[in-house]
Amino acid sequence: MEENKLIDLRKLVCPFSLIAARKEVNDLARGDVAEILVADSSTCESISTWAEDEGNKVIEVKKEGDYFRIILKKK
Amino acid sequence: MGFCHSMVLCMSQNKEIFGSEKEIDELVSSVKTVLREGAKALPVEQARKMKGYGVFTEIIEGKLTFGARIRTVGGRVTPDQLREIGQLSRRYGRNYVDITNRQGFQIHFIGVDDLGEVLREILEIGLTTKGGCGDTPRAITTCPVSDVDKEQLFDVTPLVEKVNRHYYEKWDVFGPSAIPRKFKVSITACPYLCSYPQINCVGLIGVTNDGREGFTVTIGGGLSSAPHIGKHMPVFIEEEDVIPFLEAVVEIWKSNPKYRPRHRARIKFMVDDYGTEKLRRLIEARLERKLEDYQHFPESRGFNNHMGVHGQRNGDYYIGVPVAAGKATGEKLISLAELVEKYTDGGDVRVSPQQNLVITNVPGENLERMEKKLVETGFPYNSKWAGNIVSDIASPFCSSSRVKTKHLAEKIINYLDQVIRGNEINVRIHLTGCPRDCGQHWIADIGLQGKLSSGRELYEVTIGGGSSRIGRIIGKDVPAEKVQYYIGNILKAYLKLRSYPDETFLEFCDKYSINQLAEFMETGFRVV
Repeated sequence: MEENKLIDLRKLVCPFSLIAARKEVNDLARGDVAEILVADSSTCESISTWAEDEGNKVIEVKKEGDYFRIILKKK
Repeated sequence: MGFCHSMVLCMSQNKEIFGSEKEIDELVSSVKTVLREGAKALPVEQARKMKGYGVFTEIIEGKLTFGARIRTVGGRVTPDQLREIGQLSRRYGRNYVDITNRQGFQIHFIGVDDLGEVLREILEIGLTTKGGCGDTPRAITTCPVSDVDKEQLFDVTPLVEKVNRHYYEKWDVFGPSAIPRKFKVSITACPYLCSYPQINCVGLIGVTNDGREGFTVTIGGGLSSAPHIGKHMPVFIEEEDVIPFLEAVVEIWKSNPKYRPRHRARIKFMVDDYGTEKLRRLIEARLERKLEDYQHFPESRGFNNHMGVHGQRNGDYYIGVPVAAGKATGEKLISLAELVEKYTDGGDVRVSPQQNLVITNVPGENLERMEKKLVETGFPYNSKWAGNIVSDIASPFCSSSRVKTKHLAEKIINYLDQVIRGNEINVRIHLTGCPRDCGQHWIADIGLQGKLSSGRELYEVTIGGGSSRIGRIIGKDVPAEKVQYYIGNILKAYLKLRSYPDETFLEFCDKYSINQLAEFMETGFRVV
């Protein structure tokens, strides 16, 4: 089984975080699973909302201490 | 071009503190780098420098575009500035402009290749996007007619300008890398508290004490998913002490590591922990002196959004112009700029905290013509409801919201203008598309918070909020298509059942339980 791709955006801020997430997720192959780490709830919300709107499957959104982990599967 | 004149708090002097071409170039080049090469290509320090520049990502129909939030000082723009905002939106933003409840403007649909040009032009006209978002000291809200209205206790405009300038001059103290999260201040001496000081981190409310003008303080307000009404700190602060006071609050906030995690980083949580008495002592310790007592809290006289025609102190008039749900077009703004130049005596335009516009310095002999022209230009000047409805930006521009609150707001306005006529109801309706509550629904007479569930727009309804109180939830999961009728029902119930003609909507709501109000909403007054 292939490892999930880790996209660590915790150091990025608006407007860069969503641009970066979009670029990294668009570069994945269909069916790939990615774990996106972000620093705050609003970025987490923006990225998971965008990812779902694009047809990706958001498998899990989890708070991990002082950051958030979004696990998604590329459509 | 003359973008500045005496009536407007123009930012032309020392303007590089409000933003510079260099910063804009860095921002745009950073955006392009991330677009091309992804997250790792942008050094963390570079990204941090660009925080809070008032630029948003907006993914619309799969395409990445940008929104730019333009700050004003006290909501004021000259006709030239308004015209330029309109022209920018026509050139780069599909002729669409949002009027915001922090008294600014937002342009959308900006392509990445146009972003630098738009930001540079905004700077060029004496305005800025810097500090428009993120962890910054946000635009100071105030009464749009502080300097001209007859009922104001005194004019706070010079102080608003001074504090705003101070933020930028001391960006190392107040800027995004310096403070834990956003910092919101309202300064007002409006007897109606129309800028809602009690939902700000710090609200400075004008009072007089032994004949001296100054401010008492409300602290720890904020909405979002943990709504707080600010608490009264019973002190009296004279104008020259306002900046040291604000700096002391910010320093106390910054010095406690407890307020570094983002979810606890707002001033409201610090006030919860300390209480106002302890916080006052800490502020006094920083200032190295006692603050003067001032026990009386100046409650709002009621709701007043300054719409319609009002006499000014100088004998001219100001006109409040409703903008339905804050939605404007570039063309309308350009037309308004022309009307102001043609029919006012050096007047300007102000954005109100209710997302409307106010024109100043209209001579009496031009009133009738101006009102006629406003209608011709397409502003909903004769609508009873357009000026009373506030909506967040929401879908498709906000990446956190999936509901179209502005669209619903327009439907509500059209419906209520048909079924609830006359001027006897002064009720505010606020819509918001996500729990962050940019639409301030918690403090509305009728508040609506939307969500998308299985493809359907559903709304939670709150009722009985006010400038100093949070509304009660009376309905959950109300389908968007029913909302207008539910609001109509409860307003009809109010008209029928109020105990006396002047009973306010809040007083009416307080007489009934949540269940009774919910029944009114669903069925009108027939249940009684």
